[in-house]
Amino acid sequence: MEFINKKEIKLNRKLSYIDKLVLNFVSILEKYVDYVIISGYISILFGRARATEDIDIFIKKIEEKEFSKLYEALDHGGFWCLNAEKVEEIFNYLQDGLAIRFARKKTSIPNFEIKFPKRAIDEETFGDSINVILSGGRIIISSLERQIAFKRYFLKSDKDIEDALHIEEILKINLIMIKLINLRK
Amino acid sequence: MKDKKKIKITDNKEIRIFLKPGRNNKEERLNFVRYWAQYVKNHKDEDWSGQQNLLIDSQVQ
Repeated sequence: MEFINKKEIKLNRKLSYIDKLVLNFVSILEKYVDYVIISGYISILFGRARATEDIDIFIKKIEEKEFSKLYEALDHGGFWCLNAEKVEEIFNYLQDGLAIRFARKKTSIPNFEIKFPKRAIDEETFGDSINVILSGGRIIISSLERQIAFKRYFLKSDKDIEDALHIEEILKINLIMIKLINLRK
Repeated sequence: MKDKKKIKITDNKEIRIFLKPGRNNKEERLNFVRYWAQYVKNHKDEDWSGQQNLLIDSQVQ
């Protein structure tokens, strides 16, 4: 694990099935929209000993025309939407503040839960996101301090506390504690 | 008084940290999270991810 700078981490991990799936999915996604991966997959990426059935992603707000292009590319890339087939209907869900899910065609898990940011604090995830360099490509994740704060002080389930603890333990020296305290506020 | 970590140096000169048993289920789980995180921190990415992938890949496929 190498912390190259404040915005970049290099991981020499062996890629799991989920890692390869994520790399495949975001390689399509990033051509059409800015994204940030949030939630449990981040702790798993950094070694947390559990699996997940979904990967949560914020995408920046785009218009239906751009979303249609993204949808077509995902369809061509072997992914389908679990919520609907018509792009207008799917986009309406996003517009209404709801999450939509994509998975490999003919499967339901693992899946990608995609949503527009709703609150200002959600929007902020794009500002301090970090790049994780893997052998198969790059993925963009929420800042680790933000991830810890969200799991510890907002979600707070046993699983989330454990996820936060794992990241804290891995990265003790590298975390910016002041930033963590500010996020708690 | 804080419990000291149980540590051993193996014949291969590796540092082995032992898992502290928890007094209840929650404490046991948190102790394991800390223990495994230390393992990840102190071993090569290829090492810990190989172990982790056994868990992930068995659940997905």
